[in-house]
Amino acid sequence: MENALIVLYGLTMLYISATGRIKAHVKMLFFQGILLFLICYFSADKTNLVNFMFLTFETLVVKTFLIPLFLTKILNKNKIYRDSEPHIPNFYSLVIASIMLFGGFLISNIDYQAFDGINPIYFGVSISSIIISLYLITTRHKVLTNVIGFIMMENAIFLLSLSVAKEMPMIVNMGALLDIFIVVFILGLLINKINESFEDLSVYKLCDLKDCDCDD
Amino acid sequence: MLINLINILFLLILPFLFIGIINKTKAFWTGRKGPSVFQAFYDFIKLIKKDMVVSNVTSIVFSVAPAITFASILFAGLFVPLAANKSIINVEGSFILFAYILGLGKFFSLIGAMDTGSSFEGMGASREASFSTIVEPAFFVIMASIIALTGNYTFKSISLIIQKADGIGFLIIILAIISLFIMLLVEGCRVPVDDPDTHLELTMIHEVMVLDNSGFDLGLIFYGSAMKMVIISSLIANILMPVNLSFGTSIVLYLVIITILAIIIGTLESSIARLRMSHVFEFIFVMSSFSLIILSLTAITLYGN
Repeated sequence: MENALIVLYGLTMLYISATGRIKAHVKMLFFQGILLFLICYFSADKTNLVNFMFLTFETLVVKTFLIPLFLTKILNKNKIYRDSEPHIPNFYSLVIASIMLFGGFLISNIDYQAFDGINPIYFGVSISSIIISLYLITTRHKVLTNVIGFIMMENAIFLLSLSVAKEMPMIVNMGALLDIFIVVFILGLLINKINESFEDLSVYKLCDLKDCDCDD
Repeated sequence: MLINLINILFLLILPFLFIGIINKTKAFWTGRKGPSVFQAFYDFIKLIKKDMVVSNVTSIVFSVAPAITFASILFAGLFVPLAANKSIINVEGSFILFAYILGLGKFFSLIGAMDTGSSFEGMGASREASFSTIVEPAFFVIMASIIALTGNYTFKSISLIIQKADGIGFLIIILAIISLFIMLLVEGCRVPVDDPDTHLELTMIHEVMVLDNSGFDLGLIFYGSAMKMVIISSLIANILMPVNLSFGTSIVLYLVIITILAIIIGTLESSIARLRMSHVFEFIFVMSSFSLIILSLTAITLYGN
């Protein structure tokens, strides 16, 4: 069951790399949140009730509902619907993401003895999801898609930490939450500011903000 | 002997019924009565009775292409297990021969289309060829993974995979079925890859390749296309069917699965629109992505422990 959920998680990364609609990205974030919750539910140590409740809160409340809701609000407010011109067309992104996913599986199988006690499917999917998220951040233009890529990387790191240890220390959990909080906080400020100044959310506009212009 | 006879009958008759059930399902969803399920057969009879109109710019390639394509599909069908998990010709490594024979048929349908000199048909041939470059490697990877898992080098391996349906094996089966279903849509030229009902050249793939064919040739092309769909559906059916069923049960189960697949295709065609050409490649590449995941999971199953 766990394995099926993890492969499904890998498939969401493929879908995200092939679609340009930002609403679909947000929906996939929601879906990933549910998947992470189910993976936690099946794999986490339920004897430590506090830790388990914290994991449930983090995955089900924060990752599944709060962040997607916040992103949807920003989408509606700024009326942005798609990342229309990625640097690399979506078809090639899908090809590259598939190869990355395959590469992740290969890495997790290269020296199986060295990864003793680690589920290779967990490891392969999470490593490749991190790399795919980094790739998506570099190829997409909009601030919002970059942030979505970052949150996906957070999700993948969460999955990776699950693969390494069945039970995560509370402090790591809180660190992950803090990261997300900062991302969302900065995103809120940045997007509203850029929108007021430029009426567009392309990160290219940031190139115009040069110091030397002030001298003129 | 009896099984072979039944399988040959299935291979020859089921294509008409398959198309008939798809059309009946589409009629049901649009609130019509629809044509009879045997309409495809009546159309075939009508077409083979008609005279052929052949353009005078075409060569011998154009006239032999439909026959070679049909013959290759029929021959490929002999290797695939149909009812009761039995194929008519059962040799080791037959899936490689199967893919190459289908490839030969496709090659002839492509050069037959290009032989007419029509720019539309050349465009259709180009599209069909580019789809094949994605579908065929993926098919090889999936079959190779299934064979590696089961250790049986004949097509029978797809029937044995269901015995490995625990944990990762279950995932492999699901992904293989989805991939083969995408292959079914691509090879059968159905929605969302291609729309068999449209006759607007710019959006067509397979339909545009046969614009110059008529009469007997056109009948063979339609029949061959439907037969290809039945062959690929049989692959899906055999993945789902357990090996140790009794003869009668396995035949009934086979027919039920084929009917369900036809109904699913009909429902799909009634509910979604054809994809834009640029998105079709993304849709088909999903099959390649899945095949890579199947390969990885197979490697984990075989060498992971």
